[in-house]
Amino acid sequence: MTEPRSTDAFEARLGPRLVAFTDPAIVRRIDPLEVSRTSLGARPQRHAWRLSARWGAAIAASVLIVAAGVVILGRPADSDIGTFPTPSTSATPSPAASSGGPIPVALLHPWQRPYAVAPDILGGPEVIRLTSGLLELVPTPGAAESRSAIVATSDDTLEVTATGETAGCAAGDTGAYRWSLEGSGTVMTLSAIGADGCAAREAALTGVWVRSNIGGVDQPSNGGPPGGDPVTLRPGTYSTSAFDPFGVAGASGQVRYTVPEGWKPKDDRPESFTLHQLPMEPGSDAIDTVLVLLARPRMSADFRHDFQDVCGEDLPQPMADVGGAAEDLLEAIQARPGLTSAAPEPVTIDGYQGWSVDLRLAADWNNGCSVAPGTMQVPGTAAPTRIVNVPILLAENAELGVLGPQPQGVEIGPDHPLRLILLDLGEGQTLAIAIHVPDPAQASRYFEAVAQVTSVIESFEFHKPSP
Amino acid sequence: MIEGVITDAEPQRSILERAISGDEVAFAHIVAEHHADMARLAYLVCGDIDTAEEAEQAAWAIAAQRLKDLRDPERLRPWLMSIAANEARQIGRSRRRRRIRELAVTDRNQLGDPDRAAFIDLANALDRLDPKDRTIIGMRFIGGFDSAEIGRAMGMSASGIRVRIHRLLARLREELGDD
Repeated sequence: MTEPRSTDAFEARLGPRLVAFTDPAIVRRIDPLEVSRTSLGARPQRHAWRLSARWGAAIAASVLIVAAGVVILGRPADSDIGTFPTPSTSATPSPAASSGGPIPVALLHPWQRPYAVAPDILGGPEVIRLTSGLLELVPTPGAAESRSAIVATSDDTLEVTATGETAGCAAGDTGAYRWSLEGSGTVMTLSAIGADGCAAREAALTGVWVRSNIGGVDQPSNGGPPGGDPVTLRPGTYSTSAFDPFGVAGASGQVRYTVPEGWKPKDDRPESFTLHQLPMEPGSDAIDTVLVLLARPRMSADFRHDFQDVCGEDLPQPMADVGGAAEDLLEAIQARPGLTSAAPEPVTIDGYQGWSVDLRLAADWNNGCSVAPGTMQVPGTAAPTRIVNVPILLAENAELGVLGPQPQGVEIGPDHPLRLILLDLGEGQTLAIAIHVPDPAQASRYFEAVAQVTSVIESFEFHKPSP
Repeated sequence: MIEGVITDAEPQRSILERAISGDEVAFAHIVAEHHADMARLAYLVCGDIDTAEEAEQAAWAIAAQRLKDLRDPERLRPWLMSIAANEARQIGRSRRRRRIRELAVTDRNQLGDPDRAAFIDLANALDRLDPKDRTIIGMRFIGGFDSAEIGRAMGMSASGIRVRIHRLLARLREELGDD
């Protein structure tokens, strides 16, 4: 579409009028999966594919949340490479399933509710995990808890038995459910067969679930993060789940990304999303690289302002007098003592414009804290000192201390160069993307890491949801 | 470098390849993404909701069969829209359903509504165009394609499309009394 467009006033009016004229054609909803199935299968079914709201939500979610995540509240050991999600290539129930038998492999995943993909189709944020003998409904605010033993009772039915007293359930409460899978096994529907002995569980389980690929599978419940360890993603295209760069809470799929082999999603919350590339094998030459996305970042206070207790445990604070726009943040970062900055370059990612800048700790930066003898000492200083990292950005709500051990912001330390991209998403929304090489031994390969991760950043597609 | 990157190509190619291999979810993704454009264009061409819906359904079946022949993912959207327009033209022609829209006299409130009247005028002006011309108008103003893209999708030259759009706009301007 490189042709110069007319600025003729009539043409400018005609376009919107034609779109409005054709609005009646899109009033009727369709079921994309049914259209797909009918078209690919050459099974003519005139008008058979009009949308049911439930399946519209499910399929749109399965499209938007190809690998939907669950909220990770803890940080598993980086050295622990997760396993791939169990492949679910068949929607056919396992023939091995029989009365009291094992759970079909296709079901052994974390599942989450479809998120809202249209204003009138709502879903909840609940997550369930199906393991070989246990069904867990991950507790979320306002949702009923449930933890039940689970067995397959036929090719398409499951029996769940509460293993303890949880909200709304008594130990031993039993319920039977029929399951079905759609698509490529990415959408599961559970329906109660008769009344569940635990009504809260029936309300929580019944309905459509979309497979999540972030949580590990078939792991013992140990009180760890909901959804389990992050798994290494297969090469492919995925969507964020909770990450909310556009400020539309509860709308999943706002960022779609494509990763090659070796990447783990570590963090998917409204204010931040983190991908981590780890060496796949011990002794591997791969570069340990972290890609952090922060929604609505704020400039962190530095040591001369409110954040005096840099050597203590106080949480950093945002600088109130620095705006949140990309240009405001960039200007403040470039003015921050202790940093050297390359010349910012304009960038455009999926149509959104911003700035990219490479940052390093200044060679003469020697602010530090006294530490025990034998630890890092700044050359030329008398006291044993450790270098203090220079903070630049804070995640939204970071000062509230609600983010747990995941990144609360971005800072620059010795041997930790960082590429920072600040994108203007419009309507006052700014997105920060930071590329970080955490291993000081690999700092010299920083630009190599940047080159590798650039393909992931280039794959970003931003999907602004309707408010 | 990130500058100037258009990120749609790679994911689209991946989705397209999966759809070509028969992946229902991938094809459903394409359906979800392009349904509205195809439905709008089909309706613009044939002027009847049921016919447009049938045309779109037929277009998806054709697209599923011929998707493997589409090598460039960036051509997907104009390609799909042109199929929908073709189907709408053919089905509409066979049923001769097109007719001049008249302002509904049963709703007197609408008679004084200038927007409604303008809407009907537009419908009638479009109705007097050849279906192929409605396709060109739709590709231009609903699809947002330039003359070269429309020409590729419809098997015409870009210059021919350009001239035709110029004439069509002049005609619509006159019929709509919009100067």
